[in-house]
Amino acid sequence: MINELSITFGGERMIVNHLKTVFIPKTKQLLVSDIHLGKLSHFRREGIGIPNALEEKNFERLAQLIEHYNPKEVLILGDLFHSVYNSSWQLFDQFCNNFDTISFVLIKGNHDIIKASHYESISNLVVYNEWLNNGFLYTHEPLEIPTTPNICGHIHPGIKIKAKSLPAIKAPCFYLTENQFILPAFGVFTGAMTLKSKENDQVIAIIENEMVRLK
Amino acid sequence: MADKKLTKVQREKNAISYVEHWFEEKGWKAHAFQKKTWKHYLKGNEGIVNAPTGSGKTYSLGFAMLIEYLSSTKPQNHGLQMIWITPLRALSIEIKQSLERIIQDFDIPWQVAVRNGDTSTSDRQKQRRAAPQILITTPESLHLLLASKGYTNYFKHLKLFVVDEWHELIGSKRGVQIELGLSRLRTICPKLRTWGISATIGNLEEAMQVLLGHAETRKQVLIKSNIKKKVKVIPILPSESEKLPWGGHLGIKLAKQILPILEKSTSTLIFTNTRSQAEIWYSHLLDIQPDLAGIIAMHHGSIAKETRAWVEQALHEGMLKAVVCTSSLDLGVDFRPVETVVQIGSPKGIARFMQRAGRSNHSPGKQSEIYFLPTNALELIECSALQDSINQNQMEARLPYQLSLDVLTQYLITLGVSEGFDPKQTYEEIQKTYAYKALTLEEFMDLVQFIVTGGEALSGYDEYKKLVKSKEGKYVLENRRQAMRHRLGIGTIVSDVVLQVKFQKGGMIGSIEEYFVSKLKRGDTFQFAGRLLEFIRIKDLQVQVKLSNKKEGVVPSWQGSRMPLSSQMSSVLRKKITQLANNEFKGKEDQFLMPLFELQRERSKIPTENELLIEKLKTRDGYHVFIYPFEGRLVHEGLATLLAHRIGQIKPLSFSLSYNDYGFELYSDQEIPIDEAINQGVLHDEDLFNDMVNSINSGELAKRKFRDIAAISGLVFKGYPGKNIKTKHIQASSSLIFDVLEDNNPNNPLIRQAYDEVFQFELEEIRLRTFFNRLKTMDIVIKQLDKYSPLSFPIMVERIRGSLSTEKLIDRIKRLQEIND
Repeated sequence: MINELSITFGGERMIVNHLKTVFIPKTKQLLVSDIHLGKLSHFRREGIGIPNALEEKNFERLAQLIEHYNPKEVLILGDLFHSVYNSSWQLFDQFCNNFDTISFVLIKGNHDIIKASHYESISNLVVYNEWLNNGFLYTHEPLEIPTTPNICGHIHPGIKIKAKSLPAIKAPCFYLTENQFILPAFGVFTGAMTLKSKENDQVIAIIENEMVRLK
Repeated sequence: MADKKLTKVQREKNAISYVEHWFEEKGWKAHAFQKKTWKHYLKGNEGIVNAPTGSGKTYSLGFAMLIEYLSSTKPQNHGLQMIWITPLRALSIEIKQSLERIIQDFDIPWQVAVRNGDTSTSDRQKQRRAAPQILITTPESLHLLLASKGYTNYFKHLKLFVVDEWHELIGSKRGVQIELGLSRLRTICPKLRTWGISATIGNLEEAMQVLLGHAETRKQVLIKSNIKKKVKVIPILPSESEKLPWGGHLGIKLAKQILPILEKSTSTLIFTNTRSQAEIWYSHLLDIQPDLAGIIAMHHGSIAKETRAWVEQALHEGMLKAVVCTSSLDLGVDFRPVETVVQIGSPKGIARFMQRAGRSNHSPGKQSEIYFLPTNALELIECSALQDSINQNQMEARLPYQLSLDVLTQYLITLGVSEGFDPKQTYEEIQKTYAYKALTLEEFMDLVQFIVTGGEALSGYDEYKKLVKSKEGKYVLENRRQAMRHRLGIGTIVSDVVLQVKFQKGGMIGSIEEYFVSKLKRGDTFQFAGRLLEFIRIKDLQVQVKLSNKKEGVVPSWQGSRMPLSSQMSSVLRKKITQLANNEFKGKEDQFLMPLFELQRERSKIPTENELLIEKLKTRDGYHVFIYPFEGRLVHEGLATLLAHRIGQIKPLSFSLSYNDYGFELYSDQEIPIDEAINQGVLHDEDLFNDMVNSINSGELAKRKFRDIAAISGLVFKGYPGKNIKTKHIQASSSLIFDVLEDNNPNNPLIRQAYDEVFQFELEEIRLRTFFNRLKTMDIVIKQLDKYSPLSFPIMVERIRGSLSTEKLIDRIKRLQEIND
């Protein structure tokens, strides 16, 4: 089961879901940000025992989403891979191969520092630094003053919810301003940064796998 | 060298008489407990010496070693003979001087060396090349030695292993480190005898078992000195017209009454319970008595090491009239000029109070006096309770840690870094320790497996590498970078993320928790180390500040510095309140309490020890239920959560919980069906474990415990103070690791340990169960209040509130939104 919510951004109808991704029905694009593949392997290479099985969870979820939406294109908004090359890349290579009818687009993030040849060896993967597509400007880091509707990731947005007599809850969230749409981090092994929401901004939090529109 | 023709007994007798002669020359006399220790040591026994500080305990074991040397026909001058463990680096120098004095006076060609975190690398290398005969060190440094190649050779001549201040170590994971270190040394040094030195604690027999192991290969003796310290507690009462507040915890209203006490003694130590309280008291004393400027100082754990050292030195030299301090001065070298001790607020435990009292007046035979300044009215009851306990010499027990898998993980890797380990042999060794006697071979092998594979079956993709099997069948750690990181991480004291506070122009002031700094904005003023500082910025893990010209600033709150009332104290307290309930008002303090307790009686009831009082109150804010088990704040936290959970089974509710050492409050915006709940018997200990697990379902407590466990077992690496090691790509918060492990690998041994520690230490499961047992013979009295009672008021104002909800989280959020709308 995928819990969803319909929103409008930049005049386009979009679906956000509890697996922290966005689907654009018109263009059949699935947007994912900050997967941080390979982070676990880094830890494990340094002798820190966090089970690798978690990495597979990233792919299971991605596969579940692809099955559900049947997208033409999977757009990854940066930080696909966590820094230095390691064997986890082969899992991604394999994954792209399994879904060879889908094209994968990567907007490079600050953690995507592996050699270009690794990208080139995957035939259905295209890499951009930023990408203007269908009226949206896709970047990894949020633009400071977006003039075109900007869809991005990078900051792993989260929100703290607090009210009288109840404890504060922290939850990852989608964060929308008039001209900017920031996605939460998709990766299993990622944290979230607490934001202070401003007036007029929209926040959609993911709490216990449900979507909650906070503003 | 002793005369070979004499028998062993005669040689020892001669040696003892030399030593006694030495005492006479100094004008001293050996204590009975010292002589007893020598005899038992010479017989090959092991044990614990129970003697107060300043009674010559160093000589009890120092001379044991010396007498053996003097009476030997083949005196050993080669290799490490004796290790002296001290929990506090500051004490090393004093011990070194004492031991050096005796080896010099008896002309023994031995070296005494200190090795701890302050020892320079070149000195450490020197110690490794040519081992000193006596090494004074800490638990952490002992493990660092075990992490270096060739340690078997280094330790093989060792005869005596002394653990000083064992009572300080036993209740911590540092104690487990000692147990593990000894388990290895007992195999490689067959002649080894272990001795502990401990102050009085409630479980001395157990403490001995923990130190010596339960295998009992040698005879174990507990040697008690007959030196008793007398302590008198003097309450500081407000003048007739003034009233003590019902709640709060600062006590500065009574500050003026301290001034004459400071006046009449050379030096005074003023103990507070928290660092923020110390900051507030320090500045308040200066406000009401500006003359004190320059002759009073402050000492707590966040103040720069250099400043603390200066304060200690100045105390020694009698230059300071008073020092406001926290537990940072509980232990350590004696300060002769200190004549008086003042305790601000409840000391929470008898042993701690005694220890603080003992910091004054070192002349033997004379009684120590300690002033007790209550910060609220109820604390006055504790004052007479304390005096009763001291007279009866009732001390708290210090419970040893058991089955700490994080410390064991660290230890196994330590052995892997140096000479490797054979699992079968290591298991046999640790089985003999108290901490791991209940660990099954299967659990042990699971842990080894976890370290070897990183928690799962190795796949082709996996590059995980930690311990590998050597040709000799031992597990070793070959990766040099990992080995280096492990050495830097050895230890079980995990500090919070702290930032150094520095003046912009240079000059270290101290360190402060990141948590506090994160709330500051540029230009904010805060009070720290007795100064008003203006926050400028954070740069490279340093907080840059300048002196502020403002008059006031916020005081940082330091987390985790609040202790619960000990079970000993709680029990005495309940007896005391029973007396008051029976109208037995004795002494000045009780007279003072009378009006307050009369009001309690008028508005509610004074509970005796055979009654559990429950108060109900409806206010504008909502519905309150107060319950008073008098079992200390941790037990109350557990009880409150449990009760909230069980009441929630009757009616889904969101609660806000608050607690102090006397009782707890459940508060909700909807009516709480407490009568119904009590009638249905929610106060029982059946299914305690399950209900507790369910009520702390957020795992928040376990997550907090996991922070230390992750650091000790090497799952998180925070770098090393002052060393800029690049580890950014392997940094993750322990809470993130906890979440992923718990979701995906709930059987992970370290996650289970986190939950176990929550039960044992955070919820004090044993005390909780004891309470339920006690409850079986108690009457439950429910009172409806119109106004807050004196007992309920302080709980209501407690700032730290926990909450619990039996509504589904998502429903709660939705409701919460409605509230906001």
